[in-house]
Amino acid sequence: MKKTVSVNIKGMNFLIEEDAYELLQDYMNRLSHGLRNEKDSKDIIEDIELRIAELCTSRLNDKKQVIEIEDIQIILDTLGDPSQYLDEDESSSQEFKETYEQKTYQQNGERHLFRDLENASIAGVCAGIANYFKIDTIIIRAIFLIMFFFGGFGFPLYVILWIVVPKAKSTIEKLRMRGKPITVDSVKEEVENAAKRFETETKSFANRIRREDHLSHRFSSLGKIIGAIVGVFLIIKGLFFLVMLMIFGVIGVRVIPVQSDNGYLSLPELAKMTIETQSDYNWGYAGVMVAGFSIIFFLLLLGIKLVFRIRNRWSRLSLISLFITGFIGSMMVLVIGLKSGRELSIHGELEQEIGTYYGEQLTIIPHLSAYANNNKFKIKSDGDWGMLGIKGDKISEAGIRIHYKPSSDSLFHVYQTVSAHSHSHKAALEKAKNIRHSMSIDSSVVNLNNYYTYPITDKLRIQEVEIYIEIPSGKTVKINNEVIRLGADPFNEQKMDEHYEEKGHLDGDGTYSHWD
Amino acid sequence: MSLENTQAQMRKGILEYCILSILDKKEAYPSEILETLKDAKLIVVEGTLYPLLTRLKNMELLSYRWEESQSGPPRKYFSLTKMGKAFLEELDSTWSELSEAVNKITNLQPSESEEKSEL
Repeated sequence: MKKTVSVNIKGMNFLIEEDAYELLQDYMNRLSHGLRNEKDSKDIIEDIELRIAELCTSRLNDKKQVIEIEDIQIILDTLGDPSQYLDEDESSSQEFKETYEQKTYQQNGERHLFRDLENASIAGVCAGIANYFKIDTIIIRAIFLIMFFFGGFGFPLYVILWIVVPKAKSTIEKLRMRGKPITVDSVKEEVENAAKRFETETKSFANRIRREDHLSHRFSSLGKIIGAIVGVFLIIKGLFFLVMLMIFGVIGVRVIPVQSDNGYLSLPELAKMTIETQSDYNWGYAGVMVAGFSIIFFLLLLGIKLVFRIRNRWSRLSLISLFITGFIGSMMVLVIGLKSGRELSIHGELEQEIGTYYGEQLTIIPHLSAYANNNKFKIKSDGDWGMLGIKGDKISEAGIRIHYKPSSDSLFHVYQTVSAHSHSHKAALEKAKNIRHSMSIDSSVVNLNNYYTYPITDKLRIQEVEIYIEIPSGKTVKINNEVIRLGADPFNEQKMDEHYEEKGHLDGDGTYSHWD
Repeated sequence: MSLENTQAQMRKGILEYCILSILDKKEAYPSEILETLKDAKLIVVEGTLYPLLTRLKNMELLSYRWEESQSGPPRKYFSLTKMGKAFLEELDSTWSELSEAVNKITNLQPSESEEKSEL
C-alpha cells in the first residue's frame, strides 16, 4: 500500500506515488540547480516539464491510472541526468563541474545536515547531528546538556541550529541525512522503512550496527577535522561575544564601579558621559550594535558552515552581507571614535595662587569626599576606588597630585592648577574653569579636598587638579604624618640639589603616597 | 579521452545543424524532433535537446507557436525563421565541404592515390 499525491505538470493532473514524486522533485531540483546561472533556465525547464508530462501521459492507460516509481525512473533515464547534458553548454561548464561533483558526492553518500524529527526529543537537532557524524544521539544530547549547564551555550546554540537547519521532510532528504545514495531502490527502501519504524523498535538497534560499519570512514580526511575544530572554535567565540554584547551593550548591566545615584554605571552610560553630542552617541551606539551583531552572527554562521559543511547560496550571501554590515558598523564606530579622540587632543591649564605662609612647617590636612560627614566618627577612608562619582548633574573625581618645588624666597607659596582637554585650547580652558576644587590656607594649615567636581555636561575630558607648593630652603611640609623636606636626604646625592622637585599623590581614599 | 567522449563531441557539433535541417522540412514539436534524432542515433539522452532548442531560439534562428493537444499537454511547434533559413544554407555548404574533406582524407590510401595518378 502506498500513498499517492496529485501533481499538476504543465496543466496536466497526474496521480503519482509519493516516492515517485520525491524522485521527480529531486530531479527537478538538480536541474534548476544545474541551470541556476543560465538566463534561459525557465524556458529549458518548461520544455523538460512538458516532455515529462507527455511521457507520463504515454505511460498511463485505462487500467493504469497511477504513475509509479518505476515509471519515473524510466522517464528520467530517457531524459538523462542533468549532469549528462547540461555540460554541453560551454557557458556553464564550470558550474556543471560543481554540480557534477555534488552529484557524485550524493552517490557516494555525502551526508547533509537535517533535523531528524523521527528520532527527535525536541526539534531533532541532536538526532540530526548524530546522523551527520554517524554517532549515537545520546552522545550529542549529553554534550548539549553539559554545554547548557557549564557555560550556558547549549541553549542559544540549540535555538540557532533549530532555526538554521532544515528538517528532513521528504524521503530524499532523509536519505541525504543518513548519507545514502538516492536511487529507486534506496528511496523504496526508505519508504518501507518509515512504515516499519512505527511497528518495531529493533530498528534503532539495526541502525546502530549499520552506523558502526561507517565509523571508520567518518573522519577520512584531515581537512574535515580541522574544519570542524575551527568551526567549533568560531561558534564558541561567537557565543562568547554574543553573551558579552548582551550583558554590556544591550542589557547594559552596571559593571563600572562608579558611585552614582543609581549605583554603578553601564558601559553605554559611561559612553554617554564621554561622547560630545547625543547624536554622536546614537550613531556610535548604532555602530556598535550593527558591527557587534554582524560579527557575532558572522562567526556563528561560519562556524556552523564549517562544522556541518553546509554549502549553499543562502549561507554564502548571508556571510557576505554580514561582513558588509560588520564593516559599515565598524566604520561608524571608528568615525565616532576619531571624533571623540579629537575632543581629548588639546590640553588647557589654569593656575591660581591660594596663599603664602612664613614659618617652619606647612601642614596639609586632606578632607575626604564624605557624602555624609555628619556623625562623630572621623572618616579615615571613604573607599573611593579611584573612579568617578556622580551626584546630580555633577561628576566628582578623587585624587590630587601635589608637586613640591624649592621656593625662590623665604615664603611657602601654594598654587592650585586645574586642567582639562578639548578640541581647542579655548574650549579646554572653558572646561578647566568649570572644575570646582575647594582648598584654603589658614596660617600654617592648608585645607585640601581630595576630590573635585565638574558639570556632567562637560563630559569626561581628563579634568585634573594639581597643587604646587614652593618650600623655602630648610623648611618642611607635613601631610598625613609624613614630613617632606627638599634636598635633605643625605643618602641620595641627587636630592642634595636644591632645585630638585618632588611629587606626591593624595589618593581617593585619603592616603598620601610620596613619589621619590 | 574515452571513445564515448569523442563520439559525444562529434555528435554535439552536428546536432544543431541536424535540428535546423529537420525543422527546414516541416515545423515540429520537441518530441517529433527527438524521435527523428533517436532514429538516426544522434542523441542518447533526451535532455540534450532542450538547451540547444532554447539557444537556437535565442539566436532568433527558431520561433515557435503553441498548439493544443488532445492526448497530452500543449505543444510548442518550432519552425525556422528567415534568419534560420539563411543560417542553414550556410551550414549546408559548410557541411558538404566538410564531408568532402573528411571523405577525401579517410578514403585516401597510399596505393589508391598512386593508381589514380597512373590513370
